[in-house]
Amino acid sequence: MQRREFLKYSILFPATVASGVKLNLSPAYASDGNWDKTVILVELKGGNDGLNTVIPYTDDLYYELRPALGVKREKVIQISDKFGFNPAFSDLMPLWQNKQMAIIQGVGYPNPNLSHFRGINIWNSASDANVFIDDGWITRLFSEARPGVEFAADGVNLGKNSAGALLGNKAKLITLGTKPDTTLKQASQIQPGNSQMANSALSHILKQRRDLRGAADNIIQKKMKNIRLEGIFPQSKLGIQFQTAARLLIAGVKVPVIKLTIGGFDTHAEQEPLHSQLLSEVSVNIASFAKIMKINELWDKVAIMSYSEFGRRVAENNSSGTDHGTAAPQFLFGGKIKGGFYGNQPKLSDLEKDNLKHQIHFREIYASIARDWWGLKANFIKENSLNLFS
Amino acid sequence: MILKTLLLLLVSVCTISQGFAMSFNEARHLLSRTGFGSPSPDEIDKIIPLSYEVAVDSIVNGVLSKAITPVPKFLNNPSDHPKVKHMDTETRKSHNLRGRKDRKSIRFWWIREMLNTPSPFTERMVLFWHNHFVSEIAKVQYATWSHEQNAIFRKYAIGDFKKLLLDVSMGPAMMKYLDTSKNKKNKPNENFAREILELFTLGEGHVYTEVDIRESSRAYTGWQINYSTAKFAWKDWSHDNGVKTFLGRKGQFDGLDVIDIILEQPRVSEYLVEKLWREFISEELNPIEIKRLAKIIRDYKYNLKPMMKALLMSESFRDPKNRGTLVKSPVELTIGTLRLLGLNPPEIKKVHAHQKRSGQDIFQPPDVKGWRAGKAWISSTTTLSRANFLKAAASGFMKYRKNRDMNKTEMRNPPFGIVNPWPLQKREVNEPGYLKKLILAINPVMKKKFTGKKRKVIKNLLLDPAYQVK
Repeated sequence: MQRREFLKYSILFPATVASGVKLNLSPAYASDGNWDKTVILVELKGGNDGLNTVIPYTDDLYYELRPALGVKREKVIQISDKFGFNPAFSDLMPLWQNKQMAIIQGVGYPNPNLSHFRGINIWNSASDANVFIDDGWITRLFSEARPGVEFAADGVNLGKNSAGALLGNKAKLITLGTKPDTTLKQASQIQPGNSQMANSALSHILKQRRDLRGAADNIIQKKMKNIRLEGIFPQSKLGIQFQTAARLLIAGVKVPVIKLTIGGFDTHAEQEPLHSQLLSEVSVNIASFAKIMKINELWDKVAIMSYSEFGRRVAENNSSGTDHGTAAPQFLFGGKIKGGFYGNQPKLSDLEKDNLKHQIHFREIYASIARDWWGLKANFIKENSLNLFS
Repeated sequence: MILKTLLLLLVSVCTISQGFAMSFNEARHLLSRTGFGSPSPDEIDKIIPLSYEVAVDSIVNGVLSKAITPVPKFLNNPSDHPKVKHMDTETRKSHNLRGRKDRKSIRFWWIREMLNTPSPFTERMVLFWHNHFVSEIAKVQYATWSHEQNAIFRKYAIGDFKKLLLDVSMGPAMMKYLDTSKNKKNKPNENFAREILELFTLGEGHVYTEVDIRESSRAYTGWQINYSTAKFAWKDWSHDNGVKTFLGRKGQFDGLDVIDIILEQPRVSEYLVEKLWREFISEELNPIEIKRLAKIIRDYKYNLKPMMKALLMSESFRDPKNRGTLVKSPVELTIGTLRLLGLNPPEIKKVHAHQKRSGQDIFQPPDVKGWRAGKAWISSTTTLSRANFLKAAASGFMKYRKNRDMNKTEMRNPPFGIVNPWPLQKREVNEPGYLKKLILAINPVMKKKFTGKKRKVIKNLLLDPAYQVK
């Protein structure tokens, strides 16, 4: 029995996996770049309020600066003697307890930019705050080693938003919307077209047609259509994205990166209950995704990274909201993630222009993914790896 | 006889003094770039006898300050938003429902205007300002407010930028969108102070610093919305009267003072020209030309019309190398195609649905920076939705039947209406190759039949990748 077929059946009969059927899962290392390992990027668009996500519930200053928005100590889910989850993160507790969730505290970069677009550009391209680079950081990695022809694409973008870390013409990308199967069928009917005379706009158009057709043909061959996963994820925008991600991986579609997006984190006014709802949406989906990946023995082959362009101002504003801030905790999940805390929470008493000072450069996370997970050199990242993987 | 000769002489003198008539391609390019990407034969016929400059004048002078489409119904039925707090659940439900309907109907209203306007350039400018002074109707909430903003864009389409900036900034739609009225003394909300610099006037990374944002947000305190009149209101009690330092100047500035200081920066005119350059000429900027055009804005004290004419007259705009180098936006692709074919869509909501699917939901840009435009319009997703639209539009003439079985044909319902393709085909019969030069800005990519009077020829041209650029 082919491995993929087996995994397909295992959705119907998860018990067979539990009963100890041995699979040949020895990883097929690519000569350079172990692209078989997938990274799931989850962008929390708008600037997630880190202080109300991982809460310093013993810090009086937190409650002083956030008289209306501070999450009450008795409501916090305590995960250490100093920090607790927002109650909306309750679904993530099993992953945290099983040490499959990493909390990286105080993530940011020097001279933080408080604009959404510039902020996310810096995160996407892994550039310094004063350097402008168009290509995403994962796109930049492809110049070191490219995924082979057996890959459907370099990345699958599932949200309606920018491809982020996969921006730039050098990445081969496919976007699957809310109806991935219909999209694939239509894409398989596109006639690519070719022209030596094309200007850069037309070249881009033709390249999209070729990539689209190639990716669609590849995914259709893997029969993703037959993997439904109904009733597992909430049928929200993010839920459908996670469902599609899971279907792709279970079908055995090869793709190094899948990008998901959830918007709405720009909570300048009336932050609650919106922010809690967003966090709960994220946690329910990640928990469900982890479950289905484990059943299919894929959990060790994926790493989920959630990130946001910045955190929010320490003090709440006068509109029961928070303005743009700087450093914030970011999260990783996966079977091979070494769970626990990384770095230190920036001091609320030691601010720079009312904002937190970052403790860990976001590129330390990227370095860990690029070097420890994908086995690349990633020379353009000067920072050392955070060592997030076991 | 003498009179006739004199008249003839006069006409010929005029023609000479204004230069020669244009080539087909030049006329097409001018209309394509100032309109929706694919001008109709009638539009081209109209300007082709003119000299280039006269044609530019006719476009620039033809800009309308008001929409021709009747005002949407919701405006005669003003929303009762001030009382929302006191509504019972049922009233609030129906209120919300009407809000949702209004937010849809305003989109359909603008699409109608774009389909029917005698001045496509006007609507292109309105769309340009919509993507410059971005607001999302989901946050603005009241369609009346977004409609008012849309009318401001048209009123100053190529007029006084300072008035445009002030009217937009002090209109309820933008104030709601950027939390301006939540910016209060001792509790500043920086949203508006940041975006006016970053997006409306100077551009990110130019001239200002974070300190300028903080200081100017203090100056804008006191700006409030009067919800019952939906008008700007000055609230002295919430204004921070202290001294602020802004762009190197010091004083007890209020919001208007700060805006005056911003507009003194020459960078503002350059930023505007850079954006207009990308919109109308090319994604490759020409710094010398941009400086020249920016100076025209300053020379005319922010009246944009002379610069706009100079931009359309510029060598770069006319350079054949720049033809077919810009990607059509979803609005251009849909509106342009419908106008080109003369289709009259029975349901505007289907036009809107296609634009939205291709990434451009008018009145609802993705975020405060607006649509990224250019090549960003084309992804694997939009490659599909754009092709689907063109197929559906083409069915409007592919399914046309002359004199027989019209009922049956109508029952098959091409989504964007039915049109007789004969007027287009007749042009091709009279001048083989006409359709190709009419529909495409550059040579087609696919190997298909692109000449001849078969309907399939028109469809092949529309579905060729070359139709995606203008």
